[in-house]
Amino acid sequence: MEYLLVKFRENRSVIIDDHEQGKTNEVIELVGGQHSVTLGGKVDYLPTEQTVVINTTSVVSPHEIQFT
Amino acid sequence: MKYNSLNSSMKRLGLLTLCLTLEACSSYILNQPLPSYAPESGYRFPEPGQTKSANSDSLFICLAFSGGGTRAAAFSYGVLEKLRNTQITWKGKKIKLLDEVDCISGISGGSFTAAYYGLFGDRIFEDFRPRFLDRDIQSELFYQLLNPLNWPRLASPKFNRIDLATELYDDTVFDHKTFDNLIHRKNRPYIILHATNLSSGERFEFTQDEFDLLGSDLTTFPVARAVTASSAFPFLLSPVTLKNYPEPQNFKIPKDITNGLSSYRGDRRFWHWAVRQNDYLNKDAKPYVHLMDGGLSDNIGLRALENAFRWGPIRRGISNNLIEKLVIIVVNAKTDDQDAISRDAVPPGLSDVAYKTTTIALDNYSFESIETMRDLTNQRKQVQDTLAVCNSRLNLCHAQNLFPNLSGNIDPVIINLNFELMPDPQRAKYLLSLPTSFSLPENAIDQLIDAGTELLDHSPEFQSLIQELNPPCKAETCP
Repeated sequence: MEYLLVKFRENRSVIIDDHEQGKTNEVIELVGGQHSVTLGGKVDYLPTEQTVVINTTSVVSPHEIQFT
Repeated sequence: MKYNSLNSSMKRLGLLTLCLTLEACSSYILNQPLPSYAPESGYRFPEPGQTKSANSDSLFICLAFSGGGTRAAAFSYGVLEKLRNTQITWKGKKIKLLDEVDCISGISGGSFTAAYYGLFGDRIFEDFRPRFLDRDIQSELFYQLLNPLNWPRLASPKFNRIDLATELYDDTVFDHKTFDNLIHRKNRPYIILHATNLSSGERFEFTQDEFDLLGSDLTTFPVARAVTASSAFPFLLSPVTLKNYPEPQNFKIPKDITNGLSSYRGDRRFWHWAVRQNDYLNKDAKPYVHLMDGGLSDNIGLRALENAFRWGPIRRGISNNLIEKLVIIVVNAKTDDQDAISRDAVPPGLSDVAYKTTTIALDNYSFESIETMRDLTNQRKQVQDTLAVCNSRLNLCHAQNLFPNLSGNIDPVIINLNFELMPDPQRAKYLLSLPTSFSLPENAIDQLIDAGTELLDHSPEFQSLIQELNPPCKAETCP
């Protein structure tokens, strides 16, 4: 399994491949490969969606992305 | 003379009418097209947190019922009975363990028990034995074949032995229920019935997610037809055929499939799954899908749960902090053929070789599936524990920044039940020698049902789970 950290200024749900899966600022365990990532709630962030390719991560060294 | 000729003509006319009537019924049940794509509705694995049910998400229990004819159906029924008779306390509520079961994945013989419980709930304990387990289904099917009324239908290329089996199960076991009835029960467990796609060799799940890719509506599809496909043993029964319709205009390929197709270097399993799912969208090359026994691709039904754990609803339930304790009970009715071929100097004949080449792969795959699931959940636990230890050490050093928390923590329990684990070697030998058949003597059914209870009673994992779920009461709260 692989690990993703979605950084955001507040606590929001993370939407991965159209499904709610985990929270911002926490490490999310998921299957490797390509994923579409966005946030739940009000669309007050940029970019509105990010496509990431995740591999060779670990829980202490996750793939990091940020929404602002 | 004239009277005789008239009488003969009338008989011929009558026979012709009967034949035409029967011919009109000589076509298999066809799946229906999907009027419009609605990813939020239909028979799909419910997302944890999105269903209102007395059954909690925090204790998430899934059962996998293997194939193996009536042997598997009776064994899995025995496990259900034991779970019904087991009281637990979860979040302060005293409940039956069975009422906390969230999903059941059923294959072939095990799919009868899974589907019956999904449709009728606790009624299974009143009438499943006389309606299915105690019957000689094989002879009943054979008599249907011998019935001359069925011959004109069987002469049609679009009606076959499998269709007689569907009719029998639909009339006498499943009461003509469809997947719409499973949706409207609004109760867990969610039932996953599997067959094998004869062309690709892949697992096929009777879920709306899979039917979406066929442009088809699962709600109108008879549950008996899905169970028949799941138990269509090669050579004895013919395949079940589904039509692969054009997609409704509003259809959108789910994002997990589009992303999976680009994940060859990220996760080969995810990519492989996406490629196989995407194959169904090639309507010109594959206008039909032919299905056979689910055991050919996964004889214990664990692969569906593995996918749900890797990238499906179970994964999301964990990451969304909804699932705390994940329990998977594998009810594997595998047998031991007593290895007769190793005692013979003469090389095995064609039928032995054909049988062994089918079943060797099945058994190896089953073993690997269980161990893969165990490894996956163990790895998850190790990751959680390692992160906790790292952060506690950093805390000791008064570190400014700790590692971010993991979304969700689970306590996984994998329980594997099979006849080799029976404490009494004589009973183990007896159960391991039972044939794969849809007709077993009453005594064998009794022993198989009892084996469900006995194996759970002797399972260290199950006993430790029950102890944990029934903590000793404090003096003042003891009854």
